[in-house]
Amino acid sequence: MVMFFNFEGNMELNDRETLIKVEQQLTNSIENQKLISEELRGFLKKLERNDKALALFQIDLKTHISEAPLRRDALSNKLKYITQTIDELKKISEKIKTKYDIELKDFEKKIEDLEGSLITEKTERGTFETTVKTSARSFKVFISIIVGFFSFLVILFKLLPVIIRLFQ
Amino acid sequence: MKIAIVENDSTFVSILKSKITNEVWEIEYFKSTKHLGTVDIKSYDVIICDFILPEMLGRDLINSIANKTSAQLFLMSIAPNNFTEEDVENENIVGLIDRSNPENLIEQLNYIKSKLMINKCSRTIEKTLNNVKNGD
Repeated sequence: MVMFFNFEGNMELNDRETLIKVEQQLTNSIENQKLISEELRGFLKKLERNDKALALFQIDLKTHISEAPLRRDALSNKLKYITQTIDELKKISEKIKTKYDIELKDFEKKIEDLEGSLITEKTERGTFETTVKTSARSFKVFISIIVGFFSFLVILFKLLPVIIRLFQ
Repeated sequence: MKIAIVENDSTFVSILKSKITNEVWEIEYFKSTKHLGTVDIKSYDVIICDFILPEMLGRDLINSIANKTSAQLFLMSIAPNNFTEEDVENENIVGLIDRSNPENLIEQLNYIKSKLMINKCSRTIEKTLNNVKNGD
């Protein structure tokens, strides 16, 4: 380039135009290279950021994998515990079922007995009440008869002098 | 490529020395941040800081020197669980190195070698463009 400009005074107009065009193209080319270079640097920056993120992820993954046997053991223990718990629950459930059935049967029997007792009681009470009522009625009649008889005697004694006087 | 490794574990340093066979790489070890403070950090292309250093955390060291050097800064840890999302988003940190895997460090250094070449090309392009625009 420097050489071209040194000799530009001796050049024809066409050559000068050609040189200007070449110079422009060269400038454009270098500007393009600059843009590519900037893009590349931006790309590298992203690459570095992603590389760091990846490193962090790999570390997490490594930790996760190294802890996997521990987690597996813990899970296995939990599973064992859960299985035991389920078995115990089953036993308890069966026990409760059996006991409940027995208790229910006893309870039902007790209710039946109680009902039976109630019916008997009612029947007995009914009989008793009937008896009491009948007795009371008989007693009333008896008292009425007695009262009536005594009333008759009183009247008879009161009337006795009048009757004697009539027959005299 | 000039590399500074700030690491107080001498065992790791010897392992690393045996792994890094690239003679072009000029590697210097620093036992502490104080030791690093005695040199011109601008002269390094790469500075790798261990996560836990005697005086401070490697992360804090990186943040404190980021605007004082153009070196590519790496954070390294034997317990990579120490790394956080914050480190991923921190633009001062170029990469995270798992210290238990020295190959990881070598891979990162190879990457930096390519990156430095790209940066050099970019600078040349910019310089050329400026020359063209100025008519030199």
